[in-house]
Amino acid sequence: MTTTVSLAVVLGIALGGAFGAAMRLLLDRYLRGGVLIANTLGCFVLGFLFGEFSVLQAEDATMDLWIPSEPVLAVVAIGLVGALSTFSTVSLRVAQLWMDGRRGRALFTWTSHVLCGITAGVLGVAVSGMQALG
Amino acid sequence: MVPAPADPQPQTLDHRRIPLRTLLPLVALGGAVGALLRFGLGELLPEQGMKFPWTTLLVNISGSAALGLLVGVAAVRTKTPAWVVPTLGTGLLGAYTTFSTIIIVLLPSVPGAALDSLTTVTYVSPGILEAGAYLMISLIFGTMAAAAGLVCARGIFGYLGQDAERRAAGRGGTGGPS
Repeated sequence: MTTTVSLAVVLGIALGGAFGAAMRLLLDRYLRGGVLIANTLGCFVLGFLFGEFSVLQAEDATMDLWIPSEPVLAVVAIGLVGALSTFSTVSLRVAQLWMDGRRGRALFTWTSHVLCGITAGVLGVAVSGMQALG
Repeated sequence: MVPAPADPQPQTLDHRRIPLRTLLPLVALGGAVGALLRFGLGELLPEQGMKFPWTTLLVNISGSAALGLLVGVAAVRTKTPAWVVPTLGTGLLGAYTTFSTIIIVLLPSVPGAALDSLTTVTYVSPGILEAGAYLMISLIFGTMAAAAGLVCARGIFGYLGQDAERRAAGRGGTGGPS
C-alpha cells in the first residue's frame, strides 16, 4: 500500500498515530499483557485492511460492497494500525529478560506475539470481503 | 515538572506512576510524531516492489536501539522527569516501530490459509523459508539492538567497568527520596 503525500494524508497518519499510541497506552496500563493485545489487535486489523485492499485490486469485485478507497486504507494502516502495534516495547522487554537470565520467558514472549499475530492476521483477512470473491 | 524519584526498579518502561490525564496527551503526541517518522522514512525508502519490508526492518531495529538507549539513560540519570520515558518510549518509539507489518508479510506463506491473493497486494510472494528468515532477522536483530542500547547507555552515562557496582553505590543520590 502506498499513497501520495498530501496534507490530508499527513494529518490522517498523525491523528491515527496519536489514537493508536493512546489505545496501546490504555491497554498496557489497565490490562495484563496489554501490549500483546495491542499487537494482536493490530495484526487483525491490518489483515482485514489488506484483505479489503486485495478486493479493491480485483477487477470483478465492484459488487455492492462498500470499501474505503485505497488512500484511506493506506492511511489507517500506516497511522492507526502501525502505531497501535509496536515492536520496540517488546524487543526491549525480551532483551531485558534475556540479560536477566530469564531466557525461556524471553523466547516465550516473542513466540506468543508471533503466534497471536499470525492467527489474528489470518482471521482479519478471512473476515474481510475476500471470501466474496469465491 | 517535579523530578522523578530514583527508579526502584531501574530500566523499565513504567508509566503507571504518572496520572493518565498528564500522560495520555503526551503519549498521543509522541504517537503522532512516531507514525509520521515511520511514514516519512517509508517515503524516502519506498517498500513498493521489495520482496520484504526492509524499511520496516530498519525502523524496528533503529527504534529498538533508541528505546534501549532511552530507558538505559533514564535509569542511570535518575533526575530524568518521569514523563520523558513514557512519552518518548511508549508514545514516540512505540508508534515509530511496528509489529503488524512484519506479521502481514508472513501470511501468504502460512500453509493452508489460502491467502494467495494477498501476494498481489503485499510484497512479492516469498517462500515460507524466506518469510521465516525475515521474521527471525527482525526478532533477533531487534532484540540485540535494544540490548545494545541498554548497555551503551550504561557504558556512556553510567558505569560498566570491573568496579561498576562499587562506583554506582558511591554515586550520590542513588537511593532517592524514600
